[in-house]
Amino acid sequence: MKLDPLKILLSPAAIALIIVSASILAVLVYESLNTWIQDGIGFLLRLEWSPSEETYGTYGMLAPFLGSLVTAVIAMTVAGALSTALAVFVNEYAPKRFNNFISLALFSMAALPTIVYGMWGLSVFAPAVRQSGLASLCAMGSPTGYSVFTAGVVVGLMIAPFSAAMVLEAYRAVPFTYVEALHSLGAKGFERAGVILGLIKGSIIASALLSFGRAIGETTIVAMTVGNVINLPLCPFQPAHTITSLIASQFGNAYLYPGLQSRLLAGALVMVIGSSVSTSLGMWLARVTARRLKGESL
Amino acid sequence: MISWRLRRTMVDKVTFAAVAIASIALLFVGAHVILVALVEGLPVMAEKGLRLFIESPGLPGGGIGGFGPTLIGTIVMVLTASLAGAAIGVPTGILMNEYSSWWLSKIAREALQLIAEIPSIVVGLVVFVLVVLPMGRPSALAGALSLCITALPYIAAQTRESLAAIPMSYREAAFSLGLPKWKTVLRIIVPMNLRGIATAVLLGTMRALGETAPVLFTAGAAFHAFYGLDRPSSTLSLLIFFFAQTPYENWKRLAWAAVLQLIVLSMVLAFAVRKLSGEVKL
Repeated sequence: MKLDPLKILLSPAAIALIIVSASILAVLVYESLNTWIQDGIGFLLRLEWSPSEETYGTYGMLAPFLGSLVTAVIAMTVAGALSTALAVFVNEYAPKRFNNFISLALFSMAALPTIVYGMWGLSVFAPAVRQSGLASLCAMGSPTGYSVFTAGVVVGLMIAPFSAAMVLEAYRAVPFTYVEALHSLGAKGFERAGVILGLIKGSIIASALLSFGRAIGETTIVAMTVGNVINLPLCPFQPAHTITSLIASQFGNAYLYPGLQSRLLAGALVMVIGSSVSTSLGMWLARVTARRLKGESL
Repeated sequence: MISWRLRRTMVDKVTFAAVAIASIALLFVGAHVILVALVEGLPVMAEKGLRLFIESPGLPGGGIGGFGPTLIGTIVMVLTASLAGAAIGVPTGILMNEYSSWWLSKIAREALQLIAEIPSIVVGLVVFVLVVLPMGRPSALAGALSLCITALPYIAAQTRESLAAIPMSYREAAFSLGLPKWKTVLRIIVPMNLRGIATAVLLGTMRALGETAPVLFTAGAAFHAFYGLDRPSSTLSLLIFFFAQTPYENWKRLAWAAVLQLIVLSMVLAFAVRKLSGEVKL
């Protein structure tokens, strides 16, 4: 076989990239090995958190684990509801001349760094939640406004532009003959939306899965707004921790406590798997739905 | 019959109201985020003027100072990250487009997908274990490496996508003139697409600039001076993260100025990307 000079030129970069991603996985697995051997998934099911500098302390991560799930579910719901509503509004109700403005606004929102949303959550949204008095709905409600709810909503708002781009694209990919047929039947806006949303259900679920994957790994916003307390997130207006906020607040000193670093990296590995599964599933579903819609238009 | 028609109209109106309110709320939040940054950040910028970009932060509870050293750290880290990201990401993107069914491309695609899906804090943890622990201290270099890894998927994917958009006829013309594949790609396809590649690198730069989590444990938290590549440093996003959560009014105000600065830089990059190649998915 003749050697292709282009392949030789380009391969080192690709190999470097493969080494980077392999070493990420290798480090995560190797550094958390201790935890898996000693404890299996036990640390994820235990509540007790008692660090120790001398012995291996107990680092139960059930509360942050559930905190991550609840925060991500809230974020996913907020992003999903807002982006679906936006798609219906843009396509069925809003005058066409708003289209450019809305896509420009979504683009700008997507371009804002997460720390900017974090700052907004910390200084605007959390105080608003505090003043709303919603915390009194919970037995252990947050007196500061920092809570699972606060973090979930701000993360959801940060993700919404991305999710909206996906839902809007799917909405517009619906063959025009369907839209025409709906109009010719005299269907009103909500009826057209009902039919079209039914057609692109797959894409909406896909965007929700992608949002979930993104929300699970979001650190900056969550660490600034979730309240950072090891607490079971039984009620959304309670302060809590997520795996990411726990890592953000504890990893810097983790080397002082034997066992803590390994537990945190094990938590990170669990999060990587969760986010990976959710994202891959979402991308697969988006592809399948897009292909099916295209097939139906023929 | 009439009541049925009335009900339809009402449901339609309610639906309209609901989706309109939700959409406006979402766009309002976007506007409000920027507005608050302007309201809080502009007075600080007006008060400090250019000194904001030179001085180091004031003492807790004292004057505002500035984010000079942090700005240097940010520029050094983000530029290093995007150059390194371009050096790895662009060739990988070309490879994945030109030899899409070759085994190395397939593995590279999976590797890229993995990096893209990994939460960015995890990248920071891995660099911490691999670079910061052996070096014994966080450094601008470790921070740049983390940012480079987070930017890589964007650079490679965007490079590949921009190359895939070039019509086949250009290749056919080159091949029919007897040019070998490597010359076709390096002398015709890539130069034709410099704009697409620049877009990819700018997109990566924008991501690197906005990230906080990867540098949390790798870049250090040296806000008062820039000590060099192999020493602790800081980025604007880190400054915001740490200073905003302190109780000191002067540090919070400095954080707001940094937020405004970060918004301006991100917007400039985002609109440069948009200008260069029309519709781009962020």
